[in-house]
Amino acid sequence: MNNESDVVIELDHVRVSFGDTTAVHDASLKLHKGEILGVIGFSGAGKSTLVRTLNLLQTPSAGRVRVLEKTIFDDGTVIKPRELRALRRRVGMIFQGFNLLNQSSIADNIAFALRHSELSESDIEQRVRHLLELVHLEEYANAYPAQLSGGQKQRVAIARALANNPEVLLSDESTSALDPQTTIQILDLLKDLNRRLGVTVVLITHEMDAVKRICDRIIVMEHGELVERGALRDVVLHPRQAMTREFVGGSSETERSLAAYHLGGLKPNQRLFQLTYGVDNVDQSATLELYRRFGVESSILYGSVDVLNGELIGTLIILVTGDAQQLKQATDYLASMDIDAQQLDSSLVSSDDEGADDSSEERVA
Amino acid sequence: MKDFLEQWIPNVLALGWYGETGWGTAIVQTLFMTFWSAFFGGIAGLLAGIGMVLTGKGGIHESRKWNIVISKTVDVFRAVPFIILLAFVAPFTKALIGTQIGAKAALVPLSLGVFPFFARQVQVALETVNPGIVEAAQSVGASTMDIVTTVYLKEARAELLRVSTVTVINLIGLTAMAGAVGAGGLGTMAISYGYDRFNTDVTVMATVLTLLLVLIVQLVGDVLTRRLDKTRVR
Repeated sequence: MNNESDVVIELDHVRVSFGDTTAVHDASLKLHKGEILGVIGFSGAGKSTLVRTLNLLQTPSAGRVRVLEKTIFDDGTVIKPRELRALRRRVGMIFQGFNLLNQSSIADNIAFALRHSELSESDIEQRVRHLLELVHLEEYANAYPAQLSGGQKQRVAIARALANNPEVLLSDESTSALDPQTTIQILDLLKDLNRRLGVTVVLITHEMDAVKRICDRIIVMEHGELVERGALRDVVLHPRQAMTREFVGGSSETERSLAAYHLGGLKPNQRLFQLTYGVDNVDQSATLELYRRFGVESSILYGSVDVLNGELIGTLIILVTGDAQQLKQATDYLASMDIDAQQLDSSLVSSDDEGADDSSEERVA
Repeated sequence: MKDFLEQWIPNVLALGWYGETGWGTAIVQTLFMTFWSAFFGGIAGLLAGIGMVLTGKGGIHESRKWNIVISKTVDVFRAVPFIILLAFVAPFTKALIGTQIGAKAALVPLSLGVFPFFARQVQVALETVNPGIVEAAQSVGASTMDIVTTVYLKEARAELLRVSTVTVINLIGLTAMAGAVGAGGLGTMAISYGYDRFNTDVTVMATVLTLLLVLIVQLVGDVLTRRLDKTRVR
């Protein structure tokens, strides 16, 4: 999946400055066709600014932006307005505030996006109807935005963004103004569209739950920098940056405190392991095998189950006790298993060092 | 009835309905001046207002240079008191229309007088449009023309109608002022045939008619504004 030909978005050392303040520092990233990338960070982290460079709603100050095989910005040189408009039709965008035309009907809001398409009047009508069906709002064609709920408005916005069959969909905090239930509906709709239409999605959010629900990959931003990135599972299960841990929160935070607590009192013949496994690996009983094969005793300190992008992920922290030989065998055995076993050591407790940052870079390539 | 009117408003009746000095003629002249100067001044004001929004800070064609050019032009005309503008543009009016007297000639100063006022009103009206909607339009590849017509003008239409109402009412005031220097209309009635000749009844009648005109414009404006605003539909 990750070959060069299906790269749809490429940022190369992009910087965005407003006067003296820099909103985005030296951002580089690649996004492949069909992926859902989550960009998470607190407000003011530069997420919106970053994503807005992808359709040049925000012109960068430096760097290079390539979208759908077109270089739209290269160190001060901007793509021609006509080409930019054509490209923008291939990159849909939805916003936190929905941003619908309040004085136009729902159907007209969607048709607005099709004004420069090659479709005839009747084809546009048909397309609008189809799009409304896609977001389950058929009966609202003649209504006005003021008559719709927040979730419905966002669905209209999604229909508008999809009008020109875009290959990329940018979502700028699109669920942040919605209640939890509606948020889930919108996220599932995005995921569904991604699966059915193959749309590549960039999801900007400050809600970890949104990212956990639908994203394949995640980038964490802080103070305009991309501080951590990787596959959703890696980042959520093994967050490296303090900032990421704050976001991942919940179980991960508990695991960490537990691990840190036990690392302090660890005897020389003991090791802590964090095991993470998908739902298909539950029938392999690691703890039992360790005992049966090597006579290694293990006790479970902590266990939890999380849902990541529709997949159930279990986490166990086990304390393994045995002599040097046994511990070596146990470590090798765990490493050879299908499940993800990570030995927890003191680096975990203070992991904001340079090393962690470097390895997080590696995970992307 | 006739005797009663003869007794109380003799001079009003003396001016008659038709003819050069008739009330009917005066009303038609006032409407003529209001309509056409609203038309010409309105177009100029609308264009200037749109121009200021597009070239202003954060506008879709942000340009400091053009913004200054437009806004300074507007400000210069706005700074000149209308009564002085009347005198100032007289030679220009004469060159353009052939005369500087009468309702038609008054269109030149009236249009120039109302244009800066309306331009600023339009600017304020358009700035009420949520910038997010403009961005959303840009994000689907809308052209400048799409954004001006469907986003700015349509989204702000209720607000534009409201400021247009204010502008037309303001303009009726200006036509009365132009009337003082021979433009005709109700202003000429009130001043030349009323005030100058000590015919108070004529002044009162001209005032009442002007007031009526203003009230009608306000009423129509309010009703249309309310009807147009789709953010109020439920």
